Amino acid sequence: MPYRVERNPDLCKKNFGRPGCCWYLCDDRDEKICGRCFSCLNNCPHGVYELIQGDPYPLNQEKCVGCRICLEMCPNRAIEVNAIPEDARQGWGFQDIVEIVRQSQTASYKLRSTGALRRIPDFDDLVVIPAQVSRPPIDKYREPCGTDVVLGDRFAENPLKIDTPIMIGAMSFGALSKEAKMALAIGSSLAGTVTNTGEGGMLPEERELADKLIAQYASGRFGVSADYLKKGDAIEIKIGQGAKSGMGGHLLGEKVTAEVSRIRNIPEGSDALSPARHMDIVGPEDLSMKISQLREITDWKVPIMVKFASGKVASDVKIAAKGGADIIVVDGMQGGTGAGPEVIMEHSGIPSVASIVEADMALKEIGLRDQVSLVAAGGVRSGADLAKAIALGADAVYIATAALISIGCRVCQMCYTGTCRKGIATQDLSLRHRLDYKEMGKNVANYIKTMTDEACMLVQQAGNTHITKLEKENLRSLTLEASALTGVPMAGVGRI
Amino acid sequence: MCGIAGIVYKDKKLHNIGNDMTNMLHQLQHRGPDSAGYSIYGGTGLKDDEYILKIQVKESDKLLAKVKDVINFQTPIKSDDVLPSVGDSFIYKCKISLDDFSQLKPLITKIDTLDDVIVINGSHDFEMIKDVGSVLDIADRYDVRSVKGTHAIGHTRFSTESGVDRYHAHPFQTYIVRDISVVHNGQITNYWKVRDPLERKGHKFETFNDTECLVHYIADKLDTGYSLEEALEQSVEDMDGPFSYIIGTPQGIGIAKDKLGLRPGVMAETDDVFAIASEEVSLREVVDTHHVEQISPGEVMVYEI
Amino acid sequence: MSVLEIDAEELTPREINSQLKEAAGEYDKIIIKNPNAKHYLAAGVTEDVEIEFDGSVGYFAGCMCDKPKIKINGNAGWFVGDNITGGEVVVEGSAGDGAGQGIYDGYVVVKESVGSRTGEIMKNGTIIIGGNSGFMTGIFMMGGRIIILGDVGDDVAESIIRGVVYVKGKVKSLGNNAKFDDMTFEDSLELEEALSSYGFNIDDYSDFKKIVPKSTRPFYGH
Repeated sequence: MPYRVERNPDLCKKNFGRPGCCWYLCDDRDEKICGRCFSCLNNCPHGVYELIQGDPYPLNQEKCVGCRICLEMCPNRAIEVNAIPEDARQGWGFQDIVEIVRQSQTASYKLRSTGALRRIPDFDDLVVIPAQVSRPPIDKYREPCGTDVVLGDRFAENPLKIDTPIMIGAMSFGALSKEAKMALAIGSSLAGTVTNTGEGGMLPEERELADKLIAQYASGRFGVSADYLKKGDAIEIKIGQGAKSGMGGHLLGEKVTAEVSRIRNIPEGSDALSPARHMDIVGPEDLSMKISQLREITDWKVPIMVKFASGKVASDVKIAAKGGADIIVVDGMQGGTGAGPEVIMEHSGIPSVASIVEADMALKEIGLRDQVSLVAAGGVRSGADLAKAIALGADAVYIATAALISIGCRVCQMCYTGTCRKGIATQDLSLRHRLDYKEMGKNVANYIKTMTDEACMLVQQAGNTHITKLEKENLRSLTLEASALTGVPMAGVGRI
Repeated sequence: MCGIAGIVYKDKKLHNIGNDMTNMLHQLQHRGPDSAGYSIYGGTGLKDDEYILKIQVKESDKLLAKVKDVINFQTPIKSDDVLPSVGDSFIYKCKISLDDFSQLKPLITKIDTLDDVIVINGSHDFEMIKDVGSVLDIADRYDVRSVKGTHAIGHTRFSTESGVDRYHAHPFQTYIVRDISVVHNGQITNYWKVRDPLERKGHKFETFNDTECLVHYIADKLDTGYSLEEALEQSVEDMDGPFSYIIGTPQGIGIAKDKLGLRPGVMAETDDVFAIASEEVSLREVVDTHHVEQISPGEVMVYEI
Repeated sequence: MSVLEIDAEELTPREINSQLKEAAGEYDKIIIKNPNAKHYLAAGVTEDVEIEFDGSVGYFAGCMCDKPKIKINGNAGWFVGDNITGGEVVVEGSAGDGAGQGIYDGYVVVKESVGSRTGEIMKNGTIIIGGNSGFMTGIFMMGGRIIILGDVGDDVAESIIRGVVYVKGKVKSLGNNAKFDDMTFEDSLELEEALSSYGFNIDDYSDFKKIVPKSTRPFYGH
């Protein structure tokens, strides 16, 4: 992405004429190197900086993705990162050229983290319309707004009962550090919601700290046993994820340390590339048989969820619902990941707003909408996104990238290298020490609670008293694209 | 998507095959709750120029009379029967004579132009029975257990990307070659690339169902001189996606499985019977042996009597 | 020894499993009559108990079990012994595709032949096949042993990253990242120990072919 990175040498050396001073950020105090800061050089995930005659300079500016970790970690605030306008020559943007050059030199496709980064119609294209006198608004300060939801009460004896419809989505131990998993577990408990193991097995610490925990059952079957499934408060069959639609999980060998290899039972240093599909789920009847199999193992106690990457949403959702799923998750193309090929992230899948509407409609068509819960995922960032997702037809949402940002992630898109400067997506002990999981757990809870509050404001000003009561009629579209994708009428006279 | 089964009696004599197939399909009910169907071969007892038509007609005053008029205009109805069904329609079954098989499809197309009328099938050597609902209900509804024949194929359906109704239930048949029908478990993921050349050759497609495409494809191959086995082998090369399907012809049955072997198929054989099915549980209804053979990825098997 | 007999003729898999799990703590051995090739039988049993099925079983028999010793006096459908983490599943007849899929420990033994993709995504444990095994046997194997006494189909051990496949009969072709390795004396001892405890008596261990991974990272990290 086009960014200009500047390091001000005067600010850098404002103390004692030497660069920075690492005494309060230092992981590894060493008197011999004390006085040589290089925090920007050491912490840039993309190799923007190089050392020239003892000073770090931001030489490789084309590599900058704008994460601003260098700026955040500079003790003297000597760095500025500014976006500059896209330089495109009839579609031949500077980034396209950089990528072609990179491919021609390395003969490899681009792997990265996060998800689709290009402009995709999303929740921002929709607005919630206010109640005035045709219907009255509800008072935020003096009147209550309900936020509790029950998910998966179709067949399960013990459905998921949560205080807010914001759940933390699947991110595995392996992709994330133990500290990050613990922070998310603490945060979900404080906020009265549920978190998810991801596909890398269940950490004992995570089970201990999370009041409610979804055990994911993905195609690699890492860490899966009867015991694992029985410890979950729900089981999520991961058919696919929005970021890497049609592919399995990727955990590259750099992050498969001894502890990760033990919990997944794979060789240390090997790539855990989960199969693109469950080896035993190739068609709809297989999914239905898988749901029955997992129910037999868990004695019909907990909800069975099925998570899809959004593609042929209506068909997939109908199959899962008919196959006996309690909860269905549709993950739009904005969904995130720790590692995957860029071409899949940017060019496969459909936007979250479109998939929610299609899934809701599909459940209505087969008469199971009131029995099956629908969870939306992919690109949810705020209370506004939550409110709009629910209005479009979801019963709850997953947040994942957003939850990581609340504990320090700056979306540098390099999770797969295992060198996360924030101690989140790494197994390196010295980096993991940077993450104070107790404090960060509180951050997660603060963020979820605030999002819920924000959503309530939109719900109440629209004239509703419970977050789940918001409906599609409460929305208007600001763009033709979003209107055509969702069927939400354009603001004004409502023409599409 | 679904459960499939096929059975052949090697002695070419008539057996209670409707009963056998009902039992086989009942064991595959869990693979497909939406609809079920049969093609039962060898027991129709028709003269060489005779055909049976099965037509779904909506309950209404004069509609059946109109259907009869259309048929009688072409060829006199020799005998007929009305079978009650579910929903707001019934099945009209009649016997007719045609000088040539090629006249059958135009007649069906003409009947289909009537509103609220759909021809379910037209056949000479096999009887097709298919409907929505459970296997046992359908068997009772049409008294399938008493239907006799030499061989049969059957299906239980778990719908994926197309509608749940009687017409979309399997088996599917073709009018390119007489009396070919198919039941299918899986999808054809290069559907349009298979369909397009067949359409350009003049074959008419009635639905967007990949199974219909499959039966036209096989019939087209048989029509151009392939043996059933060769046609099935070629289909494994030409079709993409996960599938296993069973073809029924007046001579016998055949199964083909995709190259990655993503859909199941098992076979068992005795001195009297050759049977194939999605699962062993179904075979056990008709074959008293523990010797069950897995059909391998890309494998084709044909049994003709 | 306390033995319980359950007649499964009229029971659904859910009823069979709940009766089985209830009895597993109390009895030493449970015999299931007339399993009639039903699916998911003995799913997720984690008690130390002997379970015997008098007849064929359907898909996912004995899946995710941990300690029980399961014997099937008949054939098994697809994915027999799926994801077990201990104990054993012994099939006296043949089995379908994916036998011993994703197992973590324990033994899955099939006396006759099996379908394709035997031992796919297995992490550890042992699978023994008395007859032949089909296409892509040991695909994405991450550890453990597969021992095949008959022939094996195309692409054996496709994308294997750990573990070993031993084949006594013919090997049609190897998958990506798989290679032949020399049998050692220790390998023979290991095989003899595993095979003899399930009643397979082999005279000559030297002609087993041993298949192992080339690399732990066949795709990335070069």
